[in-house]
Amino acid sequence: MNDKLFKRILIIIGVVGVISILTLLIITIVLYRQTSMITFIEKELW
Amino acid sequence: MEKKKLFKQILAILGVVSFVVLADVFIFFVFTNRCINYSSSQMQAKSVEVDQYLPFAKDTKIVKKEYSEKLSGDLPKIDGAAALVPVFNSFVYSIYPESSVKYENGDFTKDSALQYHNTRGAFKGIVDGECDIAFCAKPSDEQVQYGLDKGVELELTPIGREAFVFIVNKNNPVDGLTMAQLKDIYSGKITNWKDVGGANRPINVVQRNKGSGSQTTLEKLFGKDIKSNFFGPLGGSLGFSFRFYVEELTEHGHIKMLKLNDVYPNKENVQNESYPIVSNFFAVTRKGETNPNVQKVLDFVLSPTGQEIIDKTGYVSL
Repeated sequence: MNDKLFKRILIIIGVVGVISILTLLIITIVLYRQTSMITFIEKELW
Repeated sequence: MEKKKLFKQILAILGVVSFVVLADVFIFFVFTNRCINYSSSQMQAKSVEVDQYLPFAKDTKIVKKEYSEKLSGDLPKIDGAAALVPVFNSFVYSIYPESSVKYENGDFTKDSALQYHNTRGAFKGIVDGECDIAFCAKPSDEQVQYGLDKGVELELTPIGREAFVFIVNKNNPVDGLTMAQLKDIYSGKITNWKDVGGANRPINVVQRNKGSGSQTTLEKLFGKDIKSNFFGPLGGSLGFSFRFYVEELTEHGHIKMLKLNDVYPNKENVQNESYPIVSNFFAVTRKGETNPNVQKVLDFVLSPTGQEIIDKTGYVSL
């Protein structure tokens, strides 16, 4: 495997990984907000 | 040499993949899964501090009104919405014998005349015969249908009124909305606070569990097809509730109630009906109920003493 291909594979895996982590975090936030509305509105940062 | 390099490269790729998978598994089990547990109706029910409103406790927060006639015989089981706990617990104090309420280890025992399972549980209890009177907002179509499917028709007796309010964080610069703006927000036409005079942040349209009293009221007002903004969680939330439930929090917490059509939802504006969304709350019973004590409870609730309890608790009498 040449260095260029290796770097591309790493970048692709990294991007997909970060996206999956962010997606999971967003789902977590949505679930949390739906379940304890008042608490989460109170804790909102403005 | 070349083989050694390839081995290292494969190892690096496997390392990155493992890191991502482990991170996802960690987030799911430590955070996401916990949020799913929070969404259960039991958790929501427990979020109300019922033990502060126990009818016969020494340091109870309920309004105490003495009444000459206590019920005897077959005592109707009472249940209801979280927001109405102070009201129906006060009714129980006035007309039920003290021995009829049994509260042990943070919950009512099965043979207690007073129960607490929140709106959804109370409606189910009425239909399934586990409770006799539920104090709630108007039932959802699904709840009515659940009863009809089981051959139970519900009877709704209005007992008081309350404002349906919209809440935001105290630091949100928006202080009020119009009904038209709310309609556009819940239909997805307005998705940013700047479009209603606020900051340039997405509107997070928050909703509650299906079947809860406030969610049912919201759906009756704006339809069932309520649109959520995808970027909402990154912005500012718009929530809703009944006035009584959040009034104290607006005084001591970090939320505020919004004016609607320039009218603030205080008790006076509910009474004079200038606030646009005022809805009744009900005593829900089974149609054709044969226990005479059920009617006695309803008579008490609608009597001057019962209505005074509603007023003194902070709601608005009929």
